[in-house]
Amino acid sequence: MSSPFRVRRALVALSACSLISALPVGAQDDRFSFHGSINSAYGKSDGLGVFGLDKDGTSDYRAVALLFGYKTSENGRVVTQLLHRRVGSSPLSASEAPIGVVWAFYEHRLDNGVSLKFGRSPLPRGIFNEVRFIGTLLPFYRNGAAVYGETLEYLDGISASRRFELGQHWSIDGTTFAGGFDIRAVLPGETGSQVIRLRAENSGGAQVWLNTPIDGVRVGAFVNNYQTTPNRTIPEASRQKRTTTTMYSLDAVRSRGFLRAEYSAFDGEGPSGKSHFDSWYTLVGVKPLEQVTLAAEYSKANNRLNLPSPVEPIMLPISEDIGLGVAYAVTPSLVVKLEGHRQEGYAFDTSVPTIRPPTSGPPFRATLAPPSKAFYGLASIAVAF
Amino acid sequence: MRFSQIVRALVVSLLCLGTAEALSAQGYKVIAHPSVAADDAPAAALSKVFLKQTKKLPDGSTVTPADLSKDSPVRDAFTKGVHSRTIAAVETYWQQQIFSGKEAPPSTKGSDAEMIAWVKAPPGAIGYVSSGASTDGLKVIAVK
Repeated sequence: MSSPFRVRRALVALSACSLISALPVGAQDDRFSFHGSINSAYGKSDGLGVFGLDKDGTSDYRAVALLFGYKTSENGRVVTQLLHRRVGSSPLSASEAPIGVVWAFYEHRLDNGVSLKFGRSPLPRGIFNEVRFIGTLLPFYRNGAAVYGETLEYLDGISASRRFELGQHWSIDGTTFAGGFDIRAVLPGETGSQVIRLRAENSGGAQVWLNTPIDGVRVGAFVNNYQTTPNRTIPEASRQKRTTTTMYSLDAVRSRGFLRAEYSAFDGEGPSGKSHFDSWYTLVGVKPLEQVTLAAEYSKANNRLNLPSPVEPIMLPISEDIGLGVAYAVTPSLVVKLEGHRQEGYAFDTSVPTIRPPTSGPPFRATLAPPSKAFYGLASIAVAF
Repeated sequence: MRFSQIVRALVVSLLCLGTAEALSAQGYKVIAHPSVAADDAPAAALSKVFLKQTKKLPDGSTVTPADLSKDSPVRDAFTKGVHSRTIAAVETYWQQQIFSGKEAPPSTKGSDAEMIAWVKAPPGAIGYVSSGASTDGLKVIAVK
């Protein structure tokens, strides 16, 4: 490395350090704001690899988000969020950029209460999508993977949001959006799980929340219609049809506990035929003390595969996860958690038997291999500033 | 540590607790720039303003809120009185807003004096101070 280049790089690094050190933690003034979140864990499974955890255990398990905001005017601001994420031995770790720009949007607020966002912005989907990596807001290390997966995280496009007051303490928060987004899925394969990366375009949808007069209780619905690409180069007859994802949410958060439940479904059409995917979870928590949360979660994902004729469709119960956890909030910005899960099904990082080939003669019926199971646990610490 | 030192530490801690409780009991008053027309407002409406769910008071006045710092007993009293929540619950609300890209919390002021100086400056400014603070030249908004 040449000397001038080294000096220049050192100066840039020094300037960046000076800028950050000059700011108080979680800094904010009238124009500039800077916030961050660290969600870091040690995890281990008892055998099969699951969510990047294996029987060796790993501390290479974290999500770090840094958020910068700048108010350009009384009604406008730009916001960007950088994300660094490690998922242990999961193939996701290899497919993630060391630091990714997950948000970069300009927001303009109209006088009538409408908020418009342009660029890459968090996709409003269900309770947790926009905060899926912020550990201080989650009762477990992560939100229910069966429902949220690794997709529909952010939107490249435009969104418009507004609150509508209905009177009698009822209100509606509505967001409509259009654009495209990345699709990532960790799918079990013959040699273990692999990451599928696709892109959805020409997407449109909405998220609506009905806020009830009971503080902290709301119900929501999400719908999104999109086209998976690349599609242009594929013959018309074998192109994928547009897909619609729906999601329904119940969110009840009170001072002494919470109840959350969500259901999501979509239809897909791949080379092996059509499929209908649905998943749901129920999350219950009690707070015997303001700082202590005891949580339990049950989640399940199913994939109804329509196999090529004449083989009959088959229901693949992809995963069933039961989790128990305890969280201690030293402050709202510093939370430590301990959790244990039992996962049963066919979604593991390690290759497991799934569908047995159909019989060669009628009734051409495929069968399921016995489900596999694993216990896994996580100890994590979450910080937000 | 000797027994007398432990007793002294306990007494000092209790006195500090007493001071904090006294300040909390002392209460708060909501203040605004003289340009704000409203004389009073329901707690629920003020809560929406300080949670940045609206920019307007019920009389139509457009306002910009500021908070006292998290460790202020006056903020504790205000948060319980206006938001009917704890400071921890409000902090969690702001984390939700920040990290979902929706809203940044109001700017914070370190003392009554700093809050008063700020509220005097921009038209539409609204904040709160301890009920004993001198608020000459400012609009005091009664909480209904």
